[in-house]
Amino acid sequence: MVMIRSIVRPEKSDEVMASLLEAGFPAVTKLSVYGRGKQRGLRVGEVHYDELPKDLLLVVVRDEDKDFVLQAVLRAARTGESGAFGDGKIFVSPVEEVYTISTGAKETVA
Amino acid sequence: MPEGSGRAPLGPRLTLLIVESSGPLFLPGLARRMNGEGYKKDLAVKEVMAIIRMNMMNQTKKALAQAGISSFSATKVLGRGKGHVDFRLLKGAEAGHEEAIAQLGQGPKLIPKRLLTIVVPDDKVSTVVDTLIETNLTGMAGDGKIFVMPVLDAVRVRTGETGDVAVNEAR
Repeated sequence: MVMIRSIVRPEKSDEVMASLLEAGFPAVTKLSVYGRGKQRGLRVGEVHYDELPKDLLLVVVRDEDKDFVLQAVLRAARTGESGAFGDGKIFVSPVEEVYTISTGAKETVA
Repeated sequence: MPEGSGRAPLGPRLTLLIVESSGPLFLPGLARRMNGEGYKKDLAVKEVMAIIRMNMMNQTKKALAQAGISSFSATKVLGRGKGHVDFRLLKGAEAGHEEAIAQLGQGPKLIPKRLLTIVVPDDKVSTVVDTLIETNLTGMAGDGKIFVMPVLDAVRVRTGETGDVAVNEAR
């Protein structure tokens, strides 16, 4: 299985969550985080914001669902036609074991 | 200080240690510690991420400490599991439609949870997972999930030690 960590705009996270739900992946964990990217924050006139608020969404899916979920996140998280700076990043990392606490069972790893 | 006393051997000894450390290190103490001093360095490091109920935090901390795992980091998170959240309902309620507001709270929403991140050597993973399941099991949906993920390397900032030595609590 893989963990998909998406850093998205906070105002877009509801849309991304809805899109994941529609795609059939209801299970999501959401954290609010602060960070900066390649553009080193944001400059508005004289004011420089070094760290910008973002939402970090964690989704764990089977390997074969990865691309489908990525597309669902990308579609919902992008702003405008071609996207804009600050729309976020998606990281995919391997997950070796998954357990459900309420049953104590190890999920079958695809 | 007379010639040949106390200070003189320091130079050669220091040089020797730097050669031994096989890296660009300039602190003899750091070099010794980074060499591991007999600790196995070939163990892989694993990250255990657990999403648990808010009110289970204290007993989980206690159980982990008793199992010999005292270091971890925790975050407050929001999440949902297999339960469904109707976003049209949320939008409707936000817009002020009364029937939508009346239906709010009937379906599961985003639920506050605690996210524990525990980085341990390979051989401790099963201890951590068993402890977490044992203490957090109520048998109802919403007990949480545990994910075990590989980590390429770990570094202890204080000393610069890397690998499983950096997350070994015996040191």
